[in-house]
Amino acid sequence: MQAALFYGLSIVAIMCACGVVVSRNPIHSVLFLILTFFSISGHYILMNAQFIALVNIIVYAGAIMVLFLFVVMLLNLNKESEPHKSDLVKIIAATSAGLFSLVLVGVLKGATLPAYEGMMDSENGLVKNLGRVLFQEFLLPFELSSILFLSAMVGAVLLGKKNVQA
Amino acid sequence: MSAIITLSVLGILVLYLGIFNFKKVLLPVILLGLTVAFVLLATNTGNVLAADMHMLVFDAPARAFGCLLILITAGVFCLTPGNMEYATKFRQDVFGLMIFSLIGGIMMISYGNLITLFLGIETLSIPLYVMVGSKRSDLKSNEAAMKYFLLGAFATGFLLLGIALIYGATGSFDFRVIAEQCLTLQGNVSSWFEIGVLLLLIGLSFKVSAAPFHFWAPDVYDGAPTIVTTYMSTVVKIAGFGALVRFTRGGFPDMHVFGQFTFILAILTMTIGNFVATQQKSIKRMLAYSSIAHAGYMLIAIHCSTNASLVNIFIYAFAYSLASLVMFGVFMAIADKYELADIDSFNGLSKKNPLVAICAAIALLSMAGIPITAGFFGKYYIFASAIDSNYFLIVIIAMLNSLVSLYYYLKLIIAMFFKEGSNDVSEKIPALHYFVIFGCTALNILIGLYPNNLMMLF
Repeated sequence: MQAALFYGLSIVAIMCACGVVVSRNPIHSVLFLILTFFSISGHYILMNAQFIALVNIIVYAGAIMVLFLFVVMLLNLNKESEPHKSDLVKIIAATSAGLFSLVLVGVLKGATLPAYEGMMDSENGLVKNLGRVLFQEFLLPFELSSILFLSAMVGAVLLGKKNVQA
Repeated sequence: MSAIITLSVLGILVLYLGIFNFKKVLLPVILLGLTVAFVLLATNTGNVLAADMHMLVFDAPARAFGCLLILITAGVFCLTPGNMEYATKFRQDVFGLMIFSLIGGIMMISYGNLITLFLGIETLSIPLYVMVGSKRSDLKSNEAAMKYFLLGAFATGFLLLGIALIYGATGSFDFRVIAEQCLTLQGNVSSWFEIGVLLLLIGLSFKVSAAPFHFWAPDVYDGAPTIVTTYMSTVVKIAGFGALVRFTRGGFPDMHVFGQFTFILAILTMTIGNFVATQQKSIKRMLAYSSIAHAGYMLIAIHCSTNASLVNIFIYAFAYSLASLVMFGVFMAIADKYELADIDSFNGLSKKNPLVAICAAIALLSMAGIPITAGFFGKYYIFASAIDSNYFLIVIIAMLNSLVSLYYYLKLIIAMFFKEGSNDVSEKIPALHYFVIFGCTALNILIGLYPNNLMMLF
């Protein structure tokens, strides 16, 4: 049952991810991306990470995707304005990406999974346990990320403000 | 740790000073704060907060690299008067971002956990993307910011995938646990680990602009406001190499597996950087390519990873950033006002301002690695320890590259001393500017005379 779900979700996720890249219409790309996020959330639930799964749907599939859609609509992207890449660039890009995926597949194929020692507990991914890890072991990175967010906000305001020309 | 707290408070304070319009005291406050942070970091002996979790480890190399970062940032701040006209109204925001970015740099050179490494890189980069694009009326600056942001996000993707694979193979983000796992498994480490490390190295090589991940560097260095370029080519490079050397010296027994990768990277970076630099007309672009070439020399120390690598990279980075500060300082004083600042804009500098011209010449000679400058010992130590561990080929290539680099450095020196310049009135250079130029030159020569004193920091 679990294995079937895993493979099903994986196939959906990969197909949709390909759809994001391949589809010509930006709106379709965004919609495919939403599907990808949903199937990845399914994976999270399979791994007992319920909280992350929900956050993934709310934040990514909800908030960020709406932003994406807005931007796509505002920019009014269409085929004519799309810059054309030369064939040489396309060939180089395809070759290097292909080689890279070959390396990845080759490595992952022969790899042995390290044994999982912890207990498989359905409560692992609940907010309580997550908070405990976040505020004990990872307290310092958690606090330090506030600097990152502050600087991102200052930066966004700096770039977005009107009429600041000296 | 207390240094990071001081710097965070300083950053927020700077933003508030901007709100209440205390722009006069901005620079003194920043320099005072940086001094406090420097002292706190230099005297830091124990970890207050992070001791148990091993998130940030302020050991001797981390302290040395951190103090260097703060020192160079202070130098960049001293160069700001007269060079921030594009941002008179929001100067404090750019200053604040620069301080936040410095915090990211300090995290990058003191991490003990892959999570803090990632956070450090992001904290360094995100303010930088904004700073690069802060000259909003300039199309080139906008383009540079966009390019840097997109490619940087892409590189972060590689880095994260690498971290995830390392976690998958070892079950931990903690450096000690990862090294322990490698030891107990004795070569039977899952191949995820190797590809993970490779991806992580790719992500870091992007940050230090090593070829073939360097394509963003010339455009971004050229398009960014020159003061930001100065910051990027010094602080970001030191932080990137601090992180790289910390990673490769992190206690993994099988690091020579990646010898091939770093070998190709080092040779490509040196050669491309130097040869393309000879073709450049614009000084800013030339300095950008020369900074790529310098990354190549430092990669040699990463490649022949020995116990001396840490101190070798430290000395090289020190010498390189001192020389860079001088060069960018002179460039901003002399040539930044021209639309296309090419080598001719340095013509006749020795007549107009002989002292500055001599300082610039010393900085250039230091970059090229001529004796009695710090740059010579930077190169000497790296090459010598590479020869000690029998890496002859890479040293020969590096020597030939140094010869090539002499060509374009000398071109600037010739322009300064032997060509007639236009006889317009010499510009007024702010006093702090002089302070940076002379101070860095003096330090440069001091290190060149007594290089052994730096070794004691480790």
